[in-house]
Amino acid sequence: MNSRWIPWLFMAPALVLIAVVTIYPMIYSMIISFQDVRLARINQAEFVGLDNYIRLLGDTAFHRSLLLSIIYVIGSVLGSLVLGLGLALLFDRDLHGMVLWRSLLIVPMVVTPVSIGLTWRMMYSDQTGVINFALGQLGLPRPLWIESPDTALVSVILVDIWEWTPFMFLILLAGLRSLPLSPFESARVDGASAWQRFIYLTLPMLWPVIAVAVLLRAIDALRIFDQIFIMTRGGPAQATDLFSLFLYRTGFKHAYISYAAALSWVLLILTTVLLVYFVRVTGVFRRKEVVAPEMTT
Amino acid sequence: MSGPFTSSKFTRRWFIGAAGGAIAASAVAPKFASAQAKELRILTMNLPFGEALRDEIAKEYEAASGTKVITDVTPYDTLQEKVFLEMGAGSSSYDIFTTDCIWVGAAINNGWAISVEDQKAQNPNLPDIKWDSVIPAALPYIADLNGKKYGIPATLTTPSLIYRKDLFEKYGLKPPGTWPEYFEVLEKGKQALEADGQKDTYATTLIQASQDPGYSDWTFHLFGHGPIKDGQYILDKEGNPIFNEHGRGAAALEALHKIAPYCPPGFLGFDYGEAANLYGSGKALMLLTWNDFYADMEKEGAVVKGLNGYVAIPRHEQQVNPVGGFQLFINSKSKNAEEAYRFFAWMMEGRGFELIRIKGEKGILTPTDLKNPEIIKENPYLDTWNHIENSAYIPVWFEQFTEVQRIIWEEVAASLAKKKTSEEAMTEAEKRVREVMGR
Repeated sequence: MNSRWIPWLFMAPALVLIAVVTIYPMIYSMIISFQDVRLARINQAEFVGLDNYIRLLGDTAFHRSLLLSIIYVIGSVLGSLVLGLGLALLFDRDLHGMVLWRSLLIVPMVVTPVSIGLTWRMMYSDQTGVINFALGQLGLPRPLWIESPDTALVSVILVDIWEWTPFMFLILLAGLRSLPLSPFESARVDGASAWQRFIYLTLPMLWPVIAVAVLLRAIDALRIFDQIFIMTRGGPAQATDLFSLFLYRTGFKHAYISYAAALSWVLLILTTVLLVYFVRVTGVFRRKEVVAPEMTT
Repeated sequence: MSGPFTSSKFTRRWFIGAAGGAIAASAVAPKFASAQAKELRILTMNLPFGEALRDEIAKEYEAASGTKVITDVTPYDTLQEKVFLEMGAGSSSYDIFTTDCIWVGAAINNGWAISVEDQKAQNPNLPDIKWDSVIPAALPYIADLNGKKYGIPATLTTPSLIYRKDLFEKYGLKPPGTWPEYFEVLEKGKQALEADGQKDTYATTLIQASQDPGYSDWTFHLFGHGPIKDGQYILDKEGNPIFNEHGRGAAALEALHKIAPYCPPGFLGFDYGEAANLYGSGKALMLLTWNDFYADMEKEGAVVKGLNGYVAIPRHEQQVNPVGGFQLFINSKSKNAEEAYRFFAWMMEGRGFELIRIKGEKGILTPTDLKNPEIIKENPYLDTWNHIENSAYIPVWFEQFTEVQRIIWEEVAASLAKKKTSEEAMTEAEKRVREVMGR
């Protein structure tokens, strides 16, 4: 056999598997997004052109869910980034017991989302939840958390921040530990304050790590489903009806599978455009030398 | 090595012979099997009726007919997906499938179900189905708009107003028979609870966290004005939205706005469970929802056991109670359709429903059970059936109904969250429903 083909021969099983489980479903979902297909009669497809895409332009429920998802992603990613960075800076030192603390901090990340949803739903309960019980004992106001449309979105964002701050913490701590020490020592000798060292050295050198962490978190937050489904099912009064819940309901509860396919393609395209833009603006994957910038003291 | 599996024995002729034998055997086997052992496969739900189908009914029916009943019991959330996927794809894996009444349109309009009337017409030797073994309210959801029957009912439910008899007596309140009386009880009850020092007990609650109870809360008020067109309340027979004609939809929503101040904080996040917990833990004076949720209130050890009274939905111009429930249909792709029909006929003889009741099902639908003083004593909320003047049926014959229900609830909840006025919410609901119905 021609040696040229040997690598392809070895890769063939993996390529076939990818084609079957990834590429074929994607092509199929693209095709049905141009058809009228209901789960109730999946074998009867009628070509409708761009009808499904035109419909979503005027679908207020879709607009609402998209806006809520954007708010959720921004709130969740920013919150976990700020907290994760703070914790990483705090734990970036060799003190006694640090290994234990670091291990404890990542516990929320390894709990299953359904358990998290159930636990927080109970904790948030106005009637029986431990949070409002504690606030009541301290004589503080008892917010309705997930039971009020005014506070529900913030409440579910807080849970996501709680769960994923450890992820940010781990990545950023690893990034901090890999930074070269000499620029920091030079800066200290030159009289730079801790704040100046953070702004002019740590942040620029850590930037590629931060950008990758934000990218991964944003993708993950955008497709959140299970926690929200367990905690609020999109309510109250649709205050947490994020895009993934809207998509699920359209496809499987209202059995409108072709419209759901169109929605998922729009989400995929929007996400890809935003991520490409993010990668380009941050230059995260550009190969370059890391040079400590000039400091003004 | 010698014997039948040595290589010398595997000639081409041997393989051709073996293959021919296998094909002949596979062709004969199904006919032989169906003649020897009949089998019915049922897709159903994990309520007592489904569990009775799996256990007692399967056992008794096999003893009576020789047909083995194999039942797949699944939770509600996955039942819809499974039914839609199996039936929508034309699968014959199940001979009989279960629907919630809100999926009936999908089952009938898409040809998933065979009409039992057509089956009987094709084979007059099949036994008759005794329709009078269930109350008349159970029949519309197994039929199309013209009354042609497709399946049999499995359970039936209707709402009741549950109230605390002890507190009503203590505060000098009377169970409301009309909506104005209901609002009077709310106000007087609230004042009495406050004067009594019961700060954590509420006059009532709405249940607005999800589609079914949220929509139901609104219909309780809408239906009391009577049918709007063609005996219908939500959509006319062509599928046009009629719920807000003469401003009735907005008026029903206004009624919910009047109830909201008497509900606990956060009631917009209350689902059936939270509302049942509130009343069940003695923290509400009254509650209006579907009977299914009252079974726990009468169980041994329940905080409010023996303290409850039940009445039908209060009236505006008319007394109207909506009806809901689960149904069984024969899969049109089933290879055992006649056997499934015979099973339905056996169920409707009454023994099947008796086994379902014994299993603990509260969605009882036989007239004998609903008139039985022993059963009513044990499940007092069932007595509501004996005081209903009119029954209302949701327009389940349109397969888009689940989406219509969702839209109406979304707009109702948005208005209760003070994002829209009642008129704005109902106007938007009409517009969205028209789009979904293609009108």
